[in-house]
Order: sequence, then C-alpha cells, then structure tokens
Amino acid sequence: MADVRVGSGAAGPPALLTATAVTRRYGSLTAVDAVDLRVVEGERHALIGPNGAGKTTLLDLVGGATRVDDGRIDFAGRDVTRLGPARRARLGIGRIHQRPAVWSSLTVRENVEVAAWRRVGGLRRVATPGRFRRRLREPALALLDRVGLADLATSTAAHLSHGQRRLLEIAMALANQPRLLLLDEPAAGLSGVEVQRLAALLAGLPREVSVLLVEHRLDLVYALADTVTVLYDGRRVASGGPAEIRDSPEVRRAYAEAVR
Amino acid sequence: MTPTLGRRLGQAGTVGALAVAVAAPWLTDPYTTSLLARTLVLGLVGVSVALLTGIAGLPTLGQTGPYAAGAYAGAVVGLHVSPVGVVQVLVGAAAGALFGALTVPLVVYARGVVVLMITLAIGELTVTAASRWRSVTGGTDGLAGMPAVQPVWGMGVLDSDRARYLYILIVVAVVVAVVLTVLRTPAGLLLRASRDDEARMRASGHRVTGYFAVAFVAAGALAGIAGSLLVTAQQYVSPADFGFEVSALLLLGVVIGGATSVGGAIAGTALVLAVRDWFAGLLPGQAPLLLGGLFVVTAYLFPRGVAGFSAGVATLLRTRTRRGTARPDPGGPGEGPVPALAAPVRGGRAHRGPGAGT
Repeated sequence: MADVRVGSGAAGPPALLTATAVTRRYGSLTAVDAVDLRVVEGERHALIGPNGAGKTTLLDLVGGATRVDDGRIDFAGRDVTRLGPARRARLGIGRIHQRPAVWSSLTVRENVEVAAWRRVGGLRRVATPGRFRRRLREPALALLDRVGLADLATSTAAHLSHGQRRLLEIAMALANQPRLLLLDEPAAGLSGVEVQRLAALLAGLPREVSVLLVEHRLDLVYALADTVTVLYDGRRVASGGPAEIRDSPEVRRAYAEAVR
Repeated sequence: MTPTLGRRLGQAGTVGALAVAVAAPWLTDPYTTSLLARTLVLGLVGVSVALLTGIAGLPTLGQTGPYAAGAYAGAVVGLHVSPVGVVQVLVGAAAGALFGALTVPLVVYARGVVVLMITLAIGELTVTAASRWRSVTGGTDGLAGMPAVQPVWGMGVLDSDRARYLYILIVVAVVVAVVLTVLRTPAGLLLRASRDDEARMRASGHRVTGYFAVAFVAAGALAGIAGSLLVTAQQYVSPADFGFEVSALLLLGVVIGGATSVGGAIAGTALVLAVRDWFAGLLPGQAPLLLGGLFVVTAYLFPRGVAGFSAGVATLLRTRTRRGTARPDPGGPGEGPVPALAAPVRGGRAHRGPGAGT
C-alpha cells in the first residue's frame, strides 16, 4: 500500500502511530479492510462513519485488544503489531471503552490509583508499598478534580452514574500518562452538561497527548479534531481537515446511504 | 455511613465466634471436638476456594488437588521424617503451592464455567492418582500410623482431641490472619480489580494473567496447609477425603458464605458441614435434601451470602436502585452469590468476536 514509514514524511511532525493496511475479519465479514492511518504527535484525529463502519474495531486493533489479521502497526517508532494490550498500554497507548469500564468494587480514588499503578515505581511498588500508595494518591485526587469527581473519591465506583463512569474512565486513562489516547464514543449516553464538561476536558488536554477519537456527535468532532478520517464498510473513504470533510460530496453520500 | 456499622457487627461476630471456637473443646465431647477440628480444616480449604472463586473470580472445584498434595506430603513427612507440626505445615504448603504451580497453565487462560470444568478434572485426576500410586499414598487403604504431632521442637505431643483441635485452631487463625492482611495490601486491590474488569486492567498495563497465576499458587499453598492439618486431625488420610463431594460441599459452603469474604467462607463451610453431619441426624438419610434446602434459603434471603448479611441491607438496596437507572452491568460486583459464575464470559469480550459497535 502507501509508502508510510515510521517517522518518515517529507513535511510535518513525526508520526506517533502508523497503521499500515490493517485488516480484521470476523468470518466472512471484513470489519476493517486494509486501512491506513497515521496520527502525528499532538494531533487530534477523529474517526467517523456510520454504524458498522469498523471504527471501534480499528481502535481495538490499535489498542491491542484485538489482533490484526493483516497489516502492521507502529507506535512511537516500534512495531507493536504482535504486542498485547497491557504491553501497549505500558508503551503509552491509553484508552476508554464504548461502555465505560471501571472496577466497580473499588472506590473512585482506588480506580485511578490502580490505573496509574504501572507508571510509578518498578521495585518501589514491592519494597515500600506504603510510600508507593501515597505517591499515587495526590495525582489521583488531582485528576479526579480535573474530571469533576473529587467529591466522590471515596464512594464505590458501582454507585456512579453512566456519565460519571465515563469521566472516571477518562481519568483512569489519563492516570497512565498516555502519549496516545483512544476514545471510543466518549459523548455517548451523556447528558448535555456532561457533554460540555467532556468537551472542555478534551480541549484542555496538553498537546503531549495525541488523541484518536471515535464519535458520532459531529459538532464535537469538528470542534476538536485537526484531522478527520471517514470509514465506510471497513474502508477508509476520505481523510482531511474538518472543513474539507464536511464539504466532501463523497462523505455525504456515504452517510446518506447509511441513513437510508 | 452504614458500612461502618456493618463492619462493627462483623467484628463483634468475629470476636464472638473466636471465643466460642476457643471454648468449644471444653463444652463438648471429644468426638464433637474432632469433628470441629475437621471443620476448621475444611474451612481453611474453603478460604482457598473463596480466594479464587470470589476474590479473583476463578470459580474452582479443584482445590481438593493441592489439599490432597499437602495432606499426603504432610503424612509422608510425619511417617518418615519429622513429627514436628511446623515442618509438616510448611511441607504441606510447599506441596500445595507446587501443585498449584504445575496446574496453573491449565487454569489461568480460561474463565468462568470453563475454569469450573478444568478444575473439576484436576480434582478428579488427583483422587485417581492418589488411589493408584500405592507406594506413596497407600492406595485406597490410605496412610495411617503417623506418630502424634509435636507442634514445635521441644513441645509435648498432641495426644488428645482437645490438644489437636487447639493446635489446628491456632494454625488456621494465624494463616487466616495472614490472608486477611495480604488482601488488605495492594495485592488484594489488584485481584479485585482484575475480577471486576479484566480488559480495563490490561488497558491500564497490568499483567492480569500473572496476578491470577500468583493467586492460584497462593491458594494452592493454603489448601496444602489445610491438607497437612487434616492428617494431624484424623491421623489418617485416604483418597475418600478428596472426592467430588468434598469439592462440591466446599463450593456450596463458599457460595453460601458469600464468596468474596474470607470469614464468610469459613462460616459457610462450617454451616454446610453442620447441616450434613449434625442436623441430618434429625432426618436420617436426608442430608442432601437438607443441603439443597439450605442453599435455596440462603440464595433467597442472603443473596450475598451469610457474610453479606451484616455488611448491610442498605448496600443491597442502593445496588438495586442503581440497576434500575444504569445499563445492565456485565461485571458488577457481588450482585449474585458468585460474581464469577454470574458472568462466565467476563473478560472474553476484548478478545473474541466483533465488538458491540464496529
């Protein structure tokens, strides 16, 4: 396929993530079909497309929860195609799930602490567990403050609403200090106020964190994204700036067909 | 908040139970005392089952495997090497841990009901091996004739049911205290998080399979200790001590006890054994019927097990209301008697089949 190599490209910042012709099949269905994707450092990259276009599968392939059948994935200059999700997370790929995944029997603060676990410490985790826990506590509370859950720090995560779980999972993903954050429909199921909070939170992310976002709410996508990639039927149909994509006849056709 | 009250009730219950346990051999006859000693032993195996089933989320019918390994190792040491109890307990722990380490690859990649089937097979194979390997285990005749146990070097031997019972009570109490302490450290936190949502653990960079493997080996060591104590309790060991009924009773006891609680596991196991061995005397031959009735009653009245009763009806009510508003929760905590059984495909969603919205 295209000659995308790690860190190549005549112009622009280096690529953080390069997916080359990645393919994933489920039986006779090809959910993701030879898709190329490039996310550069600091970019906000959105994936849009109708239901069943392969957006979540593509995120799973990047995060490592699902393995590719074909193609290759490079992250931060190394081939991660064969690495599992935990390994990729330690390399700096953080993610949130379409259905917010939190540890229900832990408290809200413990959720963030356990999520940040792998960031702090090596041997210190075993040698001085007490001090290690304290090192986790402050950043955890700061993160909870940022997502607006500080008041709930000591409640059990099982008691959170859907929207609160979503915000908590974002805090958990950030706790790992990811270089690339995979967001799977973060606005789904949120109330108006919660969506605003989410938009502000995402807009306020430092540029050290690149974002790959799947989202149906196009207002959010156009407000946030530098680059938009349109998937349809497992294939990439277009990629470009938000304005370009909004006016592209191809994209309109793809969406119109799906709606009909 | 209500959990504090629940905790106080739990603490009061624990202190009371301990007092009764210490006084028991003076309140009953030697035969009952020896039955109580065996109950304690099985309670410890129950703790090991609860550690896997409720806390790590790997439901098991196979802890009779390391239990048997610990028992035979303890018996062989007692017969040929040393009458010292501490030595036997440590050897039992090592044998149980070794058994766990050898079988861990079979278990740790499976989840839910599949774990149940694999561990059942492991348990049954162990019993078969124990009855065939005559040179070491004495086959179906079992091993007998160990000299009386001497708890530590220089102490007198345990020559009465009361002495044996108290020795076993002390060892079990120490081991359970260690387990409770470890579960309060980050290790317990990581295990519970792994049970709650494995995919999220991996997404945060945790080596979940490794955690489960460690828990499995540790549970093996616990069962192995219980095995060596069984030999002390009955001065005899045979494959009949590790049959399927024992595995089933243990799982039943742990579920009744509340699965996620160490104290509940002991209480549940004791309750099940009491129903089978004592109350069944009122209705001879009807023990299975009584056990079935007990299980139905517990499942209806205490969906979180006997231990959950003091932890508070309030929590339960809150959970109910939350379920009304939120999405159906695939991996919610302790909403059924055994979380791991309620969600058998937990954790598999990230690896198999198309996701919810591709």
